Amino acid sequence: MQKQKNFQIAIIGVLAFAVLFMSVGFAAYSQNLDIRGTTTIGANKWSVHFDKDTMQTVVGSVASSSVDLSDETASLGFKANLGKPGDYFAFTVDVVNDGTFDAVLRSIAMTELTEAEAKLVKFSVKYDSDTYTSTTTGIQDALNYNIGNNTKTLLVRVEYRDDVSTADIPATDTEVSLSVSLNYEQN
Amino acid sequence: MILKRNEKVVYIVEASLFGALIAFGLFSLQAGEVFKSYYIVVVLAILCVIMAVILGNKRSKNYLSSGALRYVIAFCLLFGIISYTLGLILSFNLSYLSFDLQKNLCGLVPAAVIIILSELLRRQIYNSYARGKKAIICFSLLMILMGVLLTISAQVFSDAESIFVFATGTIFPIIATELLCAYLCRNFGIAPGLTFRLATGLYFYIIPIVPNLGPYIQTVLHLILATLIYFFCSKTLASRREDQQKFRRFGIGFLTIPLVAVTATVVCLVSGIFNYQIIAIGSNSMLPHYGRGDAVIFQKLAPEQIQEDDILVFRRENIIVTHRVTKVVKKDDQLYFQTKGDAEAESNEELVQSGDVIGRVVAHSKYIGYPTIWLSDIFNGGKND
Repeated sequence: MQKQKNFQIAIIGVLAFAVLFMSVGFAAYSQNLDIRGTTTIGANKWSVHFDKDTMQTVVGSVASSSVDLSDETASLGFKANLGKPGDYFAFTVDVVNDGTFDAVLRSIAMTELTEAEAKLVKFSVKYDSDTYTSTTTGIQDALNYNIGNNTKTLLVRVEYRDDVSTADIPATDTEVSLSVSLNYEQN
Repeated sequence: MILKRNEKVVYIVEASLFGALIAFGLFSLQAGEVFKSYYIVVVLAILCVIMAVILGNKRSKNYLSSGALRYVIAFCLLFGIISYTLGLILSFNLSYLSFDLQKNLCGLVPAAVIIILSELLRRQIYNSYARGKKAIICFSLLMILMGVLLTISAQVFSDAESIFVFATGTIFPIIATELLCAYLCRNFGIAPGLTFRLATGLYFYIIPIVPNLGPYIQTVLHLILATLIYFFCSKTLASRREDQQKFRRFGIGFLTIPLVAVTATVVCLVSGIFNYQIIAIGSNSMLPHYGRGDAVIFQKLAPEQIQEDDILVFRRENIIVTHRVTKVVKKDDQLYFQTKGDAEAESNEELVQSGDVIGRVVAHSKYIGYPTIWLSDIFNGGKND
């Protein structure tokens, strides 16, 4: 009987352990973003932002181009008319953290290009020293860049592919929407 | 001599089942769902026939089946009622099979046959070779393997979280069910375990609306259900053996009541189905009040009940944030809240809208959030610095 009693206590212990383990795990996975003050660069929080003064365009042979970046902001837009294969437009801008917390770049997400778009343009981003090029599956890389309270340079480049086949060149002007999202978290 | 022959047959049957399951694991990726179910049905049926032909269909010597069966039915009904009551608080799902008779039968029939055949095989093994603990343990491991293989093909393992959810939300209930059925079959015959498996494994084929409790609550309920049935059936067994008086309930209660109370409190707080919920804190923005690794309990409140200086719990995109309210702003009949972390120099620029308000922190505790933070680190590839 003592054996049975011990067995029953063990059953309760195992059950309690299993439930507590699950509780901790499910709390973690259901709040893995929740619990650490994640932010994205598109939301202008805790002062991780682009520095307008550092923006430099590296213009190739494009017909016209512009970058829309107002004061200290966390988002920017750009337009580039790429007239012929081989044309490209690029610009650099510094990402500045002058908030009170260290920031870590956790992930970078880039537009998924359609099959047709991927044949026409090459869209890449160079962050610090690493380059990320978007494909038809997009980019969602997990990263771990600690920028602390410093500054990192971002290079954005879009190119009209010079290896595009004649058959793939559109008959009319085609607008391709591109985006990149940098996901910073508080360290 | 007979025992040795039985032993050999049981081990050969178990080895055959193991081989068939390994083959199933290797080739099931290319096969359709219907084929997988029928493959298991055929394997189990062949093994049942082999056992019956070689060893004969021995009747169970158990005579307590009806008492245990009553407990199984009563607890399954009780937990059904609890699940559907919780569904009223959380939500319900339409069972995707319930309104399509053909799909329903395609899913229900093989699943039911697999359960019936595996319990028949279990009974044959237990009756033929009741003293062989190794054979019984081997059979239980094979049943767990079969359960995992039958469910794993429907899973998508994209990250550590999905593996954790499968390991706990699917494998834990499979193990609990198997241990309970092994206990019931050994002591009470085939009926209670078979009833338990049919009730818990097939109800969603038959009932068109099922409660959407999420894997956490569902698994906790399943584990508790299996444990309660075990305890009540073991009491029946003890009372039948006329040694209930020696059964010192106080000893078990003394040790387990605090454990059960703590576990139940944790489940209630983590599940978030009640008015109070607990979350782990992953940043130091609220220092010195509380910091990373601590846990806070918050009360769900309407925005009108939030006042200045309260620590507000709110949703920002996919983030739950706890920051102190520095100002309540009323604009166009809408309430907005300006918030600030205690460790931060300035208030957050973005005002919190009423729709994002979750509640107010009512208590915090040091360090108990660390296990959650560590697991969160694992889920995220150890990227927390």
